[in-house]
Amino acid sequence: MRDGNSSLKYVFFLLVLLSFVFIILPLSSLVTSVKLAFSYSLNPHIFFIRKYENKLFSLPKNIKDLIEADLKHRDFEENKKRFETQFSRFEAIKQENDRLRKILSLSENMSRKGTFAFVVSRTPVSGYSGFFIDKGKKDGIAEGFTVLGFCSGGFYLAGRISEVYEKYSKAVSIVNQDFSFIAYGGKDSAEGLCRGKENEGLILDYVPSKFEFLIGDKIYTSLSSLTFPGGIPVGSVSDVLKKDSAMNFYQVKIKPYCDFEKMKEVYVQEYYSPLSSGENQ
Amino acid sequence: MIFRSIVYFLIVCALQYWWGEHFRFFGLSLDFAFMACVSSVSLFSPVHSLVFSFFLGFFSDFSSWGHFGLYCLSYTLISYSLISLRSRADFSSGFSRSILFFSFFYLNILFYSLFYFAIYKNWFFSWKDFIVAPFLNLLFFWLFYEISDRYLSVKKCL
Repeated sequence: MRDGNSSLKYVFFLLVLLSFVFIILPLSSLVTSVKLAFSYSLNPHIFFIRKYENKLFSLPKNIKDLIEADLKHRDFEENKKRFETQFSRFEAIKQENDRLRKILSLSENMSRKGTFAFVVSRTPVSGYSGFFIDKGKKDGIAEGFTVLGFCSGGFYLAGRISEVYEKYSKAVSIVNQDFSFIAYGGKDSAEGLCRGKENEGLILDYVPSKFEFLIGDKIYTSLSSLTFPGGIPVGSVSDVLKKDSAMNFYQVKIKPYCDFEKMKEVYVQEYYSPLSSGENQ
Repeated sequence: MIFRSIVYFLIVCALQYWWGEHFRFFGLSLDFAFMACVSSVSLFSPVHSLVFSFFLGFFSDFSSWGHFGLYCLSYTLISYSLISLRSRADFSSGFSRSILFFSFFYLNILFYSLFYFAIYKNWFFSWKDFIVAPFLNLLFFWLFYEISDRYLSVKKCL
């Protein structure tokens, strides 16, 4: 009796120890493999499908046709979803193709040497303050180059290269609130300081009150600007803020031609500021 | 004797797998492995019952998605506890067997849940397993034991 009790205790402790070994050891991958092997060989669904097939053969023709029609309808629905996804992808490719074709036709008239690039990312904090392009040092990009965005069938001022890396570059957009440059427009070709206002567009500041601006007047970069070459289209006047005028100046609100949310292709024009060293030119 | 207990073990495992695949009530299935574990205490010798319960736990670990080894431990502990209680409880009476089965079923769930919670910080069982499963298994335990005792018992121990 005592021997029976002691052997029972020995076996108990041995099995408990073995259980703890199973708990502690990382056996999950081995166990999962064995489970999969068993379930593949003992899968009852194969057996069930055969049973359902046999049941279908013994059904009246009308009911069988109804069931087959339902199955076909489900297939059609799945294919329809797949084709809709593919169609939307084709649409995007077609639009990109149209844009690139227009770019190609316009590229012949580019006055300055440059490189075409794609916008790959926008700055995370504010999508309007800057963006990244897929060309860098190895493509001949340098700081200070002018970036023209392709929007509405033409190239318009978008920004300026601020940082250059080996394979990509960062550009600060003209609507960045810390960015400004000299621009002109209107029938008098009046100049002013163009400042960025993020999603509100641009403000042409310090416009002398003797000059008149009308809504719709086109604004261009000034020849006296050190930031950009002159004559690049910037935007059009959307509002004249004469009541906010101070002393003999007033402000003009500008809607940029570039849609920074939709801009995908850009042209990076070579430009060396007149103030930069002669080595850069 | 060993051959018959192996056959009994295989039948219980096949029943557990087949029933779980085809018959689920309210998302619950019968736990034939636990029924066999409790039944083996009165059908087999103590050491035999302990080893039998361990292997039932081994199979339950393979067929569940919990931590491997927990069922081995819990079934071994339950089997040893029931073996220790054999001198104090009346295993011949169906009523006392059912009470023991019901109590240890809850103990098994609690033990497994607590151990699983300690490892994964998550509860393995749902409220259905705590409230519905013990009664559901109890309904079938009496029949299971009678069949095991009449046709598959290997050795009755005093």
